[in-house]
Amino acid sequence: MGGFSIKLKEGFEISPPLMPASGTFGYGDEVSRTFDYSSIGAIVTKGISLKARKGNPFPRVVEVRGGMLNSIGLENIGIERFIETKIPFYRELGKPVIVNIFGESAEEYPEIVSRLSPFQEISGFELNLSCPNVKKGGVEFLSDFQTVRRIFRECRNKTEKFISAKLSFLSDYLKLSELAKDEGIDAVTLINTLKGMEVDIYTFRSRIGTLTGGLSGPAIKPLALRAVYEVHSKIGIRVIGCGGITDWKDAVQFFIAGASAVQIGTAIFKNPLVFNEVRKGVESYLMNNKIEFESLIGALRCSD
Amino acid sequence: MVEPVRKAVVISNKNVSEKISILELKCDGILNVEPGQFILIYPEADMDFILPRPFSIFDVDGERMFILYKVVGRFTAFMRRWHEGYSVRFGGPYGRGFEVQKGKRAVLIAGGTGIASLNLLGKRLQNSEIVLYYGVKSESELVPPSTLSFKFSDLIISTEDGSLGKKGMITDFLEGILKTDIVYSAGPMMMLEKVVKSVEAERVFVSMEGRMACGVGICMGCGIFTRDNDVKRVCCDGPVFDGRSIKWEDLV
Repeated sequence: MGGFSIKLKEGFEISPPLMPASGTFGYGDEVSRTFDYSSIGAIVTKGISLKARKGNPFPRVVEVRGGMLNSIGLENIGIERFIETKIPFYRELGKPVIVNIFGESAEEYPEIVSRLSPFQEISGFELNLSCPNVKKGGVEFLSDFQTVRRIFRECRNKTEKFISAKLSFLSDYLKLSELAKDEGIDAVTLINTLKGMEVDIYTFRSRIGTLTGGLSGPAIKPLALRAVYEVHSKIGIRVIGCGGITDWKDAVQFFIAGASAVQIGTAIFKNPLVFNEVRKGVESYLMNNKIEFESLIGALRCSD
Repeated sequence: MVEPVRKAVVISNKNVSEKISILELKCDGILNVEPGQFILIYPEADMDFILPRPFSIFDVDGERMFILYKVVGRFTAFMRRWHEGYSVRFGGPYGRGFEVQKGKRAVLIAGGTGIASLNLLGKRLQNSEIVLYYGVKSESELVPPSTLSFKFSDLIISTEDGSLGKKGMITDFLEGILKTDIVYSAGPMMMLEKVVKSVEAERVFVSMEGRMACGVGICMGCGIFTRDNDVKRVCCDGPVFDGRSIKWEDLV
């Protein structure tokens, strides 16, 4: 009787299997006065890079029908300040932390992993290989399989801890998931935002400072679900589902499609209680239908 | 733990001009509000809005809160249909408000709905001499000065179309501000930049109208750049900033 929890790796179990999507929950300490941390299984941080980054110009966000665009530009405080100012908070909180990391070059990924891996407070890493909003690094890494393989291998060499690779829908995510599996990466996170646009018809300008931004929210859910299903059924690596989850029914769809855990992002903004509600909803669903959580994962029925 | 989502009920929802309304809410408890702070209104779950809506707090009295809004899009058009008894989910008050500096002449410079955050400030500045500069696009967007909750010794109104007061932008009429004055300004970013660059007052505080997503400091969507080479979030490091600390050239 497992309950609503999942072992993502030997010695790393999260309960519930719900997490914030990187970038939608800051470093996890900003809302400590209002947030119920028992509603998530782990914190996933904003993307951390070796050096601090100031991010992109204003405006960085805009709501669109069915979702939102963002172009934050991986603003972050850099690894030094992260260690100094955030790790003490994680120590006190006692919640597993998955650090999302971002390298401006392939070499930076293993470097960040090796710097952070010794900290007890950090349970794992999510390699951001798919940010659509930055010039260096980001999504274009994904077209270079050799580089990606090297990043996977070297990061794996630097830590025994959990590693997930966050991939884009606009990449060969099947091939990349296979590469990840070959190199001993524990999971893939599917999917990151997709590059989109919104235009102001009176000023003739983009409504995002950098012209384009990453689309998130309900609009991308069917794409994310498809990617989760394909990777789970064809590659067999663990999948963390992410993309447009708004309520517990969406989360259940991702589990059925093959996700072992899910991340919720954009929905946090409109509903700060979304994790509590999803947790309760899924737990009731499992109980009412007498389903073991682990048997739900990938339970999709296919006629062919 | 502080409740992230609070409840309120609509007491009244009055149109004060063609495009501006004031919503009166009775909240689930007493509100301690700094002038310049805002609330987030959370759209209902079954509606297709994606983000919470930030609104400056126009006035507050115990459990009663007043929100001034202008109809600009789908959500504010929907708000206009809220009637007495309609229940609203909100978060806040959030953000850092204005430093209330008494004993100096206060110059309030409002552009458009920027008047919303300056109204409560005016009330808290009681007994100080207040001069109000207030610019709007047209009379249809003007909050009648009689609706404001504070007294001022002088009022300069401008409209871009000349339908009322002086014709032009309010920043065209900022003469008469003294070096010893404290300036408090709220409005569109372009206007705030002009205010900061043109007035010589002792202090210039600005309330930024940053487009934001989460409103609580976790998405970095409202990040702005400051002179000390830092990034600040409008929602929780602001919305009120020392106007001279902002790196305007990187924003507007």
